[in-house]
Amino acid sequence: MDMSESSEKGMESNASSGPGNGIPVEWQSQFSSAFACQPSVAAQHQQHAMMDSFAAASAGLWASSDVVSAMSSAAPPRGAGFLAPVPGFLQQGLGHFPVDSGFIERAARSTCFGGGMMAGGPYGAADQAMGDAFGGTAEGLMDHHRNVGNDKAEEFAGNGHDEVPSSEVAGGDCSSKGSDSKKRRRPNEVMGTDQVHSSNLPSDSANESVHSKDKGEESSPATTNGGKSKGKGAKETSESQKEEYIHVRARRGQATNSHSLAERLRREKISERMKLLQDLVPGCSKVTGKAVMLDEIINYVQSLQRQVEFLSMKLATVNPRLDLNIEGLLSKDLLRFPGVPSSSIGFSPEMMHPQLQLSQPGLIHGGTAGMANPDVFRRIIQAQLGAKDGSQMPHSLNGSFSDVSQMAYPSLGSQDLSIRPSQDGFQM
Amino acid sequence: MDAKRTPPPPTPPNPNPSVIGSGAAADGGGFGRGEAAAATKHMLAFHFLRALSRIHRATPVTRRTRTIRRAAYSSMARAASPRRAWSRALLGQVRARRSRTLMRRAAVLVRRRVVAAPAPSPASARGVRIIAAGETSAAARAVPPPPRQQGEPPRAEALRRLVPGGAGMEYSSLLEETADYLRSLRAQVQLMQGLVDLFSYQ
Repeated sequence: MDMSESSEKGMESNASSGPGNGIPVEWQSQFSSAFACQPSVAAQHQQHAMMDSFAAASAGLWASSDVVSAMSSAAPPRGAGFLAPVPGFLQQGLGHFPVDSGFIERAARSTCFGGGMMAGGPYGAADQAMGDAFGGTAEGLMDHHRNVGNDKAEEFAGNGHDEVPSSEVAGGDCSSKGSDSKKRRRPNEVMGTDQVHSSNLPSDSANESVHSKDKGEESSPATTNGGKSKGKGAKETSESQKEEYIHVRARRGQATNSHSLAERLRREKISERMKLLQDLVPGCSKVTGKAVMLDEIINYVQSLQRQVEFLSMKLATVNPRLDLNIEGLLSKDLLRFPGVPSSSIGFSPEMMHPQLQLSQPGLIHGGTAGMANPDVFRRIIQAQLGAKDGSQMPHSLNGSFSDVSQMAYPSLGSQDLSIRPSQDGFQM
Repeated sequence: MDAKRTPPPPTPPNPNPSVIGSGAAADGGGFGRGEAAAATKHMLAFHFLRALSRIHRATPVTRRTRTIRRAAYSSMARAASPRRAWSRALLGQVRARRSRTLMRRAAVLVRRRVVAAPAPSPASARGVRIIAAGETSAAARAVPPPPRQQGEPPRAEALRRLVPGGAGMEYSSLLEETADYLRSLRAQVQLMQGLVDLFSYQ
């Protein structure tokens, strides 16, 4: 049997099956005249064009659940395969005709999938069945096509002439085949099917906002203000629920899973600590990039470490003259210069012995502000040099501070508070 | 007869005026505000001066430089919070160095006292090296670097090498440790600069 004859017989039998199953009667003449001629290249192109127009027309006019689910499940994932023979639509003779790759998109954009747009027509029940199966949205059909089409691609590619029941494809939960369990719920899974019938949801309700809690768990709102039968109480409860949750607008739940939230928290931590380091490092406030700021931080740490080495070398050269009583110096000159801060190099007399509490608070002024102030040292040493001949520093605690120290430590002499090298070396 | 006293020598030039200033000018970035920072500075000065007072006068300058530098870092670590990873790392280095020194001294004393060498143990006869108690192998001492994370810049490895104990940290905690280490380093530099100025005026 020739190919054109088999296709002609298939189309005639398909056309004679009535308008409820396949092609209407007024299209018979077009298809019979189109397929009656001998197959040539132009005729084959015409056949493809006719099949494309037929697919679009059938998707636009007769959106029964059998036809659309069979078409959506029969298309391979890339959209470049052949039609699987589905009972009531095409017979086995037409299995080699290709389907338009943009059929699913055209079918999804058509108005009959809006969920109640053609509910009064003769095919309203089929439309409502589609609305129940796919959540009343166009994106539900697209998700179903992605899930089921990817899972059943091998099945349709392997046995192209076997029959696939359409109830297996259209029925059941659309997220149960091949989709992960963390997928975002559709609104009608929460509300129920009776509210879906009464509600008039728009076709772009896939861009709904996801209310995510602080832990990153996903939850859709339990009540949506979609039906006409809902009163003010439902509005108040929905507003109270909106106030409870953090409003995060995300596409398909990708930015609200736990990994994305953890990465966001980590980035916020890093930026906060970079700001802290930017305040610490001088001259780093003008830097904008993180890499340049990190270079500045590295250079600053290296310069501080080099300064510690340099100052330790200077202290090592000065160290043989370390036999001076810093405590006596500071305590004596605090009485002489009451405006001088007590810890001019970073420590105060009570710091060397932390149990020593001064009974006269007027002796100690200031805090640790003048830690590296050379003017304080110059004034102190000039006063010492003016008081005594030579550069000999005093080794005695006089005044009221010595009485306080003797009260606190009766066994300690004034020499015990001085800094002088001992006989045992520094053990690291 | 009273000889005229000459005025004290002029102040030495500051090696890095942008870092070490006078008073609160060098103390930017919020450090020094509050009693906790003042107590940290007190403890830092106390530990450092106590370590300086234990250094031999007869120690040569090169060894004294190294000892003062170690004293500076150990006083920083003791004055800082013990929860910080860099202070724990510095104190661990100090303890390891001290234990190695003590073991070396003990080995020298044992070698002096014992005239005849003891009989070789079967483990040493087989050529197996016995690791002493305070000694750790290099593989156990070296912390493997963590895998480089997604937002981590390539210069973070240099920062890990600079901050003590930063080899096994993730990037955000490394930045926090760096901030605290910077504060302590700056306070230590200011203290040492003040001591150098004081001793150079004498």
